[in-house]
Amino acid sequence: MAEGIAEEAGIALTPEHWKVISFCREDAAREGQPPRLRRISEALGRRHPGPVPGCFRKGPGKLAARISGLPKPQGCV
Amino acid sequence: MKHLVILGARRERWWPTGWCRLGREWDVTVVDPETHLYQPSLLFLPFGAHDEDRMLQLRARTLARGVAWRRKAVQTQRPRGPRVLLESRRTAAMRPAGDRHRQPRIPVRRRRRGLLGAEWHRSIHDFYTLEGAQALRSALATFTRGRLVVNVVEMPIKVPGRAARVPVPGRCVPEGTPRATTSSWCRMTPLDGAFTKPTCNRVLSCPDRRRKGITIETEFNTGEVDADGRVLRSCDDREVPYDLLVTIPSHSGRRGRGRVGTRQRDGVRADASVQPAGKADDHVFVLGDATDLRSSKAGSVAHFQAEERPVASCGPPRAQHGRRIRRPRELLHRDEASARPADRLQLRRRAAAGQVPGPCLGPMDLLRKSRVNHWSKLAFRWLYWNALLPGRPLPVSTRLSMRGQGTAGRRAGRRVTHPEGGPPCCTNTGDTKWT
Repeated sequence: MAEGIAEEAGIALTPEHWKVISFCREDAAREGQPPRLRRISEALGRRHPGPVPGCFRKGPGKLAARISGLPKPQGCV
Repeated sequence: MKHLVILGARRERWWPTGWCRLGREWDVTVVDPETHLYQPSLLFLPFGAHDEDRMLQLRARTLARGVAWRRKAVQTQRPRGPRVLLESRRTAAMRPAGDRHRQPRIPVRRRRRGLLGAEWHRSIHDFYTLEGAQALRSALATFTRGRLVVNVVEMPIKVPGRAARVPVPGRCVPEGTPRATTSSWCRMTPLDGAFTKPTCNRVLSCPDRRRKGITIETEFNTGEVDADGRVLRSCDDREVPYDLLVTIPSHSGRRGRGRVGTRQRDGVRADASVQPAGKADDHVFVLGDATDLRSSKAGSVAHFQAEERPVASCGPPRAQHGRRIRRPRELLHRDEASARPADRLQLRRRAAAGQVPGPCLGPMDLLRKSRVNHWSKLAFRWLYWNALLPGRPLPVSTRLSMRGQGTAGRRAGRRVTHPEGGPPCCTNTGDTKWT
């Protein structure tokens, strides 16, 4: 399923992508909501919030959630 | 006598002091710096509409009678003991017996990634701080030609509406002046619209914006700022040149103040969806900026948390574990405590057009510009200094009423909708679906 969505978005999934997807799924199952970009980047060892190199550059948070099969991350009010 | 310590007394954290003062049951100690800043004016300061005299007041003038005040900034908090360690390494005088309710403040910290440098406060500005707003005011005074870019690095930020309104006062420069005729305004956002909610995007995307030359660049995830070349680059290599950049950097809690015995998430205190930690948390409550509750951190929203937020001590709703839900107010006034549904915060509500506080009569309109709205915004400052900060009770219910909302309504023979005929209202429609 993830590969199909990624193909629609024009992305060929690499192991780096799968790391992000796995984290997103695990975190969403634990927390009940898709992780935001900052949480993803911190969990994957990035010092500052930002996209993981080579992954989901067009939408580091939202695209990762979409391909992970999760709802759209919520902003605040 | 029980003792309440409030660390950082912004609006939402001042609210409980009113209860205590009325109840005569509590000693209250506030730990906060010398002056208090009225943050909503930070939007007006760069455009000369407000000045510092109206924004700052000495803390002593805002204290209710009977409230003790300590000026030392908080450095470390130790919730597991009856002490709060202050910057001077002295401990606040706290009585070792009885209930204690401490409301740690983990202030917003800005991560100025790639921004600090020679151009900081010259061609790159923020305005969420007094010094940033003052620097932006100086820059705008001499900015006569060029492209001004307002950039939101990451959501959520504190008071997203304030960032959305930055270009609005800028539109008010008199037509015919060089700034009005030669500047173009551009707003960059990682969201898929100018506002965080789809309803607002539909209703508030007014033709005004196009007429004034304000453009919106959506889905812009800021990668880096080239300060020398004055170019903003996104993660997907889009480039936006600027002459003056107003940026809203990422917000996060201060890590050094996270040692409060509960889990932290994203640098801010976790909300009610996270597992509880230590037992000491029963007496530690978090309100406002320090929470990661999915609501605005604006004071106008956050001060209701003291009334409505279940288990502000960062644990999950205790009802999930067979225990009753507790709130700050519930602990302060045990006799009137009652377990109320956790959804009192009404986070599932969405922006809606209409009138408040009553349908058809208003007088204030939602999702629409009006003169009354503007006056009420200006009048709020008086209310802030004279009623909210001293903790005086307000004749306003904390229950969110939907009367007048979600119905397009008519007022003075005019539909309260977008002039281009956009959807008038949208309630309880989640924006979590992929489109």
